[in-house]
Amino acid sequence: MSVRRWRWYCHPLFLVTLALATHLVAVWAMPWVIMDRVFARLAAESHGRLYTSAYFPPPSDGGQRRIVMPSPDLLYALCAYDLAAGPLEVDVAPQLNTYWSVALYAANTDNFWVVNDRQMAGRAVRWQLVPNRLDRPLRLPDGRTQLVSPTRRGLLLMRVLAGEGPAAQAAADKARRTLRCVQR
Amino acid sequence: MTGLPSGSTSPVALPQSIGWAIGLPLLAVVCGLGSALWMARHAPANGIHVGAWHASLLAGSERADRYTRARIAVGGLLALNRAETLYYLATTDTTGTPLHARCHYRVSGVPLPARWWSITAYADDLYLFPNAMHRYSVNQATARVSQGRFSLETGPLPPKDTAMLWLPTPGDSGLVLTLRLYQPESGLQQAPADLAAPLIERIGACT
Repeated sequence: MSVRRWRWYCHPLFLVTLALATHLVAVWAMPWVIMDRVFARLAAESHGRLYTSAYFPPPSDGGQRRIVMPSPDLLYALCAYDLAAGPLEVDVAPQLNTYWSVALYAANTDNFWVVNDRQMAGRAVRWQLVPNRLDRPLRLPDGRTQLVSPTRRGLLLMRVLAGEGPAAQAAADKARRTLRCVQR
Repeated sequence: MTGLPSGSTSPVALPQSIGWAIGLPLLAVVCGLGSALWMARHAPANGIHVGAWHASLLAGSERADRYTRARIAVGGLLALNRAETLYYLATTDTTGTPLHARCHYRVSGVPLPARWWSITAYADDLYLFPNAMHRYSVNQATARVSQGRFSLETGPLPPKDTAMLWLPTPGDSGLVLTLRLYQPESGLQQAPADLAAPLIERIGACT
């Protein structure tokens, strides 16, 4: 086969194969890369508190460029974790008669765990987050529920309905500030 | 006679080979990355359509496929799963015409079957419209319900009816309306396509 004819057959095949492989890798990597950028942005904005305790960003408004599609009706609280440094202990005890939830996200954006105020029925959230794979959540002796993160890194996001008027918003702000994340 | 030994590369063929060796992989990588980004931003989402609204039922779910994860990462990062929240997005009005911030729309419907709901206006970069009133959404608490229906308007200028709720959409951008239903009723969780979705009707001329 001449060099010219070999190129005629092989170059399109090479082009399609490499383009397809790049496409698949890019689609797979996109959530990880975007989450990584969010971690970096939030860590800078929180001056490090994101990884050491908890971060309470200001209410969402038209000037915010933190995360796409923010809800202006909610107040947020965040913790990021890297379980390579040990388990993460999470405590939240909001005393609030309106909607709140605490959600855990893996580094690939999966929302792998969430609880809300109705499920907790006035009880505090007390979790220990670990990286090892278990079949089911364990109840630890100190009353903490052990949860397994599917990825070493991840994000905890607490949502609290801000309500209407200064009094409701102050109560929502107080509720979100009960979040504590401590690496043991 | 060139004097070159048989089988050696000619001076012209060498740069051409280098061109192929660099250009072809580069073209392939650009095509692969470009198509991945296009899919994440523009490919129709798997899910359901109700009137002008569509919802991805696997948003935030561990069962989401790679394309759904990529789409959510680009256009709805940190979504909750459908048992906790249903998200419906509209990028067109009820006739199928793309929404634009320079146009005025009336959004109307019956109160929605969830513990709490809201309708939020976003520019096409998926961030809130900056506005002096700091008004970005209408929710269950702020919606004005009359005779069993709520109604609001979006647009760059306030509505003529001063009693009408208004979501300002300044600037020259596309418009994305998002309907959030927190803790939707169990019937809707099972059949999200049964939502009595709000109508989105264009009113008047665009500015």
